[in-house]
Amino acid sequence: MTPSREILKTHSLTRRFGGLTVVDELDITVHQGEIVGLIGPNGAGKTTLFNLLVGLIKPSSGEVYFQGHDLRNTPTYERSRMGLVKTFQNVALFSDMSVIENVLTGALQKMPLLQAKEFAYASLHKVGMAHIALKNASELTFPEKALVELARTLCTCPKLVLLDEVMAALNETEMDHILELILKLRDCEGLTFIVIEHHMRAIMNLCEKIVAINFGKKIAEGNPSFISQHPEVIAAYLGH
Amino acid sequence: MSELRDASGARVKASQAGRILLLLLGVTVCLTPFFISDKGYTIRVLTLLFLFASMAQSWNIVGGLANQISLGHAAFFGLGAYTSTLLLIKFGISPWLGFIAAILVAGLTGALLSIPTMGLKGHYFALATLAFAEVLRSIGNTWSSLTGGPVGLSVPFSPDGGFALMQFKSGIPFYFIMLCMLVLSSFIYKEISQRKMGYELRALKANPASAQAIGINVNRTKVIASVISAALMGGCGVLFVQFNFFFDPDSIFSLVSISIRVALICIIGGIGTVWGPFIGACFLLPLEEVFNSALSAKGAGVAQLAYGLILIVIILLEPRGLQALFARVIKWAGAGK
Repeated sequence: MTPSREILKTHSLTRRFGGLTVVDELDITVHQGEIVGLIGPNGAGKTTLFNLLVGLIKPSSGEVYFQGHDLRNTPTYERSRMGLVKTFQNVALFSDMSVIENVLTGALQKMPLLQAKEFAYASLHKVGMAHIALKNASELTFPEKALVELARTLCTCPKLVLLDEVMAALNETEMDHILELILKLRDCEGLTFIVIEHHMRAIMNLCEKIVAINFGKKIAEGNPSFISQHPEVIAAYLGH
Repeated sequence: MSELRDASGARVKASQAGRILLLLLGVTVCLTPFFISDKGYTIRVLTLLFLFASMAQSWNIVGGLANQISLGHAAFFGLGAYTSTLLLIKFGISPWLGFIAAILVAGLTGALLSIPTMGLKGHYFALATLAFAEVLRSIGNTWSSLTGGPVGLSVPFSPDGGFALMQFKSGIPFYFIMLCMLVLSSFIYKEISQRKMGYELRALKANPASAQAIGINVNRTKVIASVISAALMGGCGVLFVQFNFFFDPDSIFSLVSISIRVALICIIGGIGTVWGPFIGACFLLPLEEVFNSALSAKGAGVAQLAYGLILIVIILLEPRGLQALFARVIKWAGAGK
């Protein structure tokens, strides 16, 4: 296999909140078509890293490159249009809209209304949520919301998707479905993923590469079996 | 699946009923002025009712869709009024052209105001817009050489003015002009709400961060909505002065009788709905008239107190306003059958 192109690269990316350094000189490289796991204990800086990558917060220092472009002056919506999109940890649907309207709003950024409607329905089908298309977003259960948000994200025609604990509340069957979907999107549509997940079975099955961080610093990077036996990772999780 | 079909079947029936109701309403509204005195009190109240409904509809574009509660929309109303009146007085330009100029001036001001205020949320946005209208009111009062100061401006009366000068002997033309303005602003509101921009405004209202994350340029969308809203409000200002012949800074930039009133009509009627402003105006304006004439003799403030209490009761019964209250009553009546 020839090494594929870099899609995302960070260079000593750092973010401080007051005196606290939440993301500390992180260097991460992600290649086209990879599924990268991002793990670390609570408060390790995973979600902050995602927010830095999509530009919802600005770095204190360091840079983010997406497909070779320096993103320092690129606002979030433009990063999204370039194909760099994230989902939200606590799920951020538009609450007074129906499910289909939520997903449609994502598709509208790329295509006209009629086409967007069809695309939105297809996207809901992909995640298995087409049957609740007309429900109001606020009536959904948490797993449903997570899947609808994934459908909305897919509607923006992304290249690199950052998934922040989308599987947190799913049962085993739902999780298997999503794992299968992510692999399919990678294999058939060439998408790249960075996945924050606490569920070890999910992350071990899904990712070729895992990056473990703690206190904002990278402590290990490698394949799942390497990471699961890495002494610093074990220490970080067990609190030694 | 059958549930879905039932639901859409019911919706088709409901929309048919809605269309018939709309037709009946349209016919009634168009025929009414020919059965009442064309210079009387009733036609004046109805004309102002349409005007305030269109002002509330303009406000609804930012207030309802984006939930940016402006308490300064009198600014655009007043700017529109001054623009057309000054053009008429100083250069003899027809108020119809003044109407276009007013839309441009108010729209541009809407853009300029929305740039510094778009990052503000909730009450901070409300206060900033309120302050802006108050600043314009002071300018109107002090810059006498241009605005006529506290004395205000009068639209020069021409006995044979007619259509070109937007002056009419009968009350009927203005009744229909205001009605057209209401239809226009409602049409614009509905078009926006059903298109990309409407989805974007509702998205950024619910969650600005995830709106950006899916590619919405939140700031640009907000500015465009503000421009449309302000421009329509400026147009309403022109129609008002041509109808009223006179205005001064305190009345045209008024916080209570313009800015808050317009927001209130929309909120009581049903914020973020196409019918809300009309329903709100149909309810509030006659209520004000009745209370003022019935209760003002009982002592200062009694009318306002009673009026305020009624508004509180409505909002407690249904925070989404009268339109939602009606919908609930109809549903309840339907279920009772």
